[in-house]
Amino acid sequence: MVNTEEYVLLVDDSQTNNVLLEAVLAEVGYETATAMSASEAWSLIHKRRPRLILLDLLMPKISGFQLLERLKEKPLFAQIPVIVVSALSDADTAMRLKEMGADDFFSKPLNLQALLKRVEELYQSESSL
Amino acid sequence: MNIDVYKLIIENSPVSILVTDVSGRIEYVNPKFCRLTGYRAEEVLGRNPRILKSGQSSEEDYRQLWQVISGGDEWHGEFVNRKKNGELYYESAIITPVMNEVGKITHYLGIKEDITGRILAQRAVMEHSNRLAALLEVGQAFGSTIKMDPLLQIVLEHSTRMMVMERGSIYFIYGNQVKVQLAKPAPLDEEKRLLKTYDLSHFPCMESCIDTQEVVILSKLDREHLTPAERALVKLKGLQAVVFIPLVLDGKTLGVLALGSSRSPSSFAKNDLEVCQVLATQASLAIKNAWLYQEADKYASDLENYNHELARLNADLKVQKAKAEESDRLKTAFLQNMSHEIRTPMNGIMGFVELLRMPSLKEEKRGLFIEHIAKSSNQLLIIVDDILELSRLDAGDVLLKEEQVNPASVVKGVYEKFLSLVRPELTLSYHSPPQRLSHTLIGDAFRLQQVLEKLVDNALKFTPNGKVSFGYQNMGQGKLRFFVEDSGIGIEASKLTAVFQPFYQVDLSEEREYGGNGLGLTIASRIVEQMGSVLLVESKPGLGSLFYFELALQTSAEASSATADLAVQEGAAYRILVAEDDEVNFMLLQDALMHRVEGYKFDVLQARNGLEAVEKVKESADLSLVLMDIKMPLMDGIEASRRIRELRPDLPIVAQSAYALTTERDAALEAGCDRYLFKPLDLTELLRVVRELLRLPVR
Repeated sequence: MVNTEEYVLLVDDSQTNNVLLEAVLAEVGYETATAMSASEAWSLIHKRRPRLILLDLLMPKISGFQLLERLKEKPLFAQIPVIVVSALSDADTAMRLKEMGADDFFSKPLNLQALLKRVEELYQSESSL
Repeated sequence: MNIDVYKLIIENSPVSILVTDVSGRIEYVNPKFCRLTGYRAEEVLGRNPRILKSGQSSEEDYRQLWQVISGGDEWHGEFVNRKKNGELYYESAIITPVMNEVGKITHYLGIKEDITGRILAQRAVMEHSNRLAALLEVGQAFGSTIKMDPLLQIVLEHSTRMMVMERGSIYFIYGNQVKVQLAKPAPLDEEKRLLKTYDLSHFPCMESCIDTQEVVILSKLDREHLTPAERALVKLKGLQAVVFIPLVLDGKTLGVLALGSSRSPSSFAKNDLEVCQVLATQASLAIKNAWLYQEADKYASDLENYNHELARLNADLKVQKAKAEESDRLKTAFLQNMSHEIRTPMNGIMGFVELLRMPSLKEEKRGLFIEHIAKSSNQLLIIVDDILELSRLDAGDVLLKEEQVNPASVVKGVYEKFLSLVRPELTLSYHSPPQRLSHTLIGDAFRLQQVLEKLVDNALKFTPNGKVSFGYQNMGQGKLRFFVEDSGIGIEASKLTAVFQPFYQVDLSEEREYGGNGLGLTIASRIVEQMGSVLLVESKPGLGSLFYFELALQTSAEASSATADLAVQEGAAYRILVAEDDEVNFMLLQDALMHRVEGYKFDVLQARNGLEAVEKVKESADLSLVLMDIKMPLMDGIEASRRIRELRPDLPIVAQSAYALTTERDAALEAGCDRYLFKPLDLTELLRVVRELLRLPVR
């Protein structure tokens, strides 16, 4: 059994985005870990179950969609809140993500204040489980 | 009875009685003989009965007659004889020898009955039944076909035969003009010309036949009453008479059947003319049927053509619709991709700017954040540049220079640009073999370098480790091949053509592996295309890819003449004839030609119809091109193009028409047009065609 650990997992193939979110979340006191690919994220999740995942969609080899799908399939990880952070901005994507069980969807460029508010809410909800 | 009574009987006999001596000299004729023949008794007494011979009874009959009666027997037979006034008559005769008591022939006695009335009546009955049979046969023949040409042939054939005429023609009436439709013997050019020269009013006989709808006979004998045209017609046919028989359809005279004979006109009996009339009625009916059939046939074939055309247009429409949908889909995908590619760096810029604004920011982070802002800004700039570049290429706004290019220095420039950016796991090398001095590359050095940069950038991106080499090699036959080769991840065969599509990489982007905006190869391939070549790719997954294209070299002489030509053509004036009857369209074309072709002057002439266009081509030997509208008054564009092609085989003609029918396009191209454009005109396409036909170098 993997215990939930006090950190937010950032999954994005863009280093710039990882650095940005890392800095933003650190600023308000969150621990973070970054993965540059879905597979890297997958193995990290197995080692340390995060309280929240910020997930990019368009990534090499395995996409954010596929990672989200696998997470929701595994009862062990299905409850981890996922906020999708992507440069995709269309309604179809938003709809699809909602159906797949994503908790929220933020388009790049990010409204950092709104994102932080949502991170806070979902981080707390997870801890209350 | 006494002798007087005998005499009285003979004198009043209803039959002719004639007595000759043994040598045949007439000794007695009775009054009936005189009344019948018109001869008085004293005129014939002492003469031989052969004075009555008409020449129509055979000599054999006479010989036989003499043989019989001189042998003492009685002879029965018929004669055709001639009266004193020349008139023929028929008689039935019994001639018997008269013998004396010792049996010696002393006289011959002829008793003859006039049977002219009976013979003629019999003959009339026979002729009538013959005619009926013939008419029946004609009717059957007329009914044997409903095709016009064979029918007219049959009508003429039977009419001439039945009426015993040597020649025949069928005329059809067109307004005030008569045209010969068929003639037997074969159509005479002179007859055609004669009918073309004179209108109907010069043939009063024919005119009267048409007006009265009755048979009219034109006789050579009425010479003084004939018009010159009629005299010419009779003379032309070498005939005594021409019988005009009206062909009447639904009360309207549609044509004339003209039968010519060398028989004298007086020999046409009333019967003949009646038969003609019946013949004409039957012929008219048959012609009407053929006419209807012809029309129906034409409608049917028209309908079939329209159906074919409609089916083709429908198929075209389906293709166009699918194309439009595909293009719509691509456009949406393109916009989505573009949005994604712009939002990604934007996020970096805006996010870090916001972080920089935070009062709690630690000083040592500032440099890192600014670094990311700079990197994202740069990425954003590249994507914006690429998108603009692509749209300019699509719009045809990228004009390539024609200058002497040193490929070695282009390749070296590319190498120097990337050298500092190559990751340590990679080796980058270039090849530039020494070039033969007799050949020169003419082109746009900047664009060539741009293409190679995009290809090298792409190769570096998709080669995690190994080598990337690029450069050019001389392929012989005046070709230089530029290439970029890598030992990278390669491309699956099924995706080889798709790599040149914009945002290909992002299009399948859920599994996107490498960075870059997905426009590099698209831009490279479009530029190479504009250079008149094709960017090709060969690849094996896992082994690497080879991108290459070939450019044509020119010999130094060609190169210098090309630049010399350029100097002449630069600013040169071209004279273009626009054949267009619509003023608005003309102005549109004039404006496009005069103001939208950079670096060249166009002098635009207008022709408002096909005839004027042909005249203008005759007048202006310096015309360079003709834009030809198809639908114009007086003479259409197709006929005008045909005539212009005869005058100036070298002059380019661009046809343009609102008819989207392939048959018309084919007709235009067959008439000698070089190109065919549909209206509404795509001006960019038109100017491209004009440039191409005038061989204007792209600047």
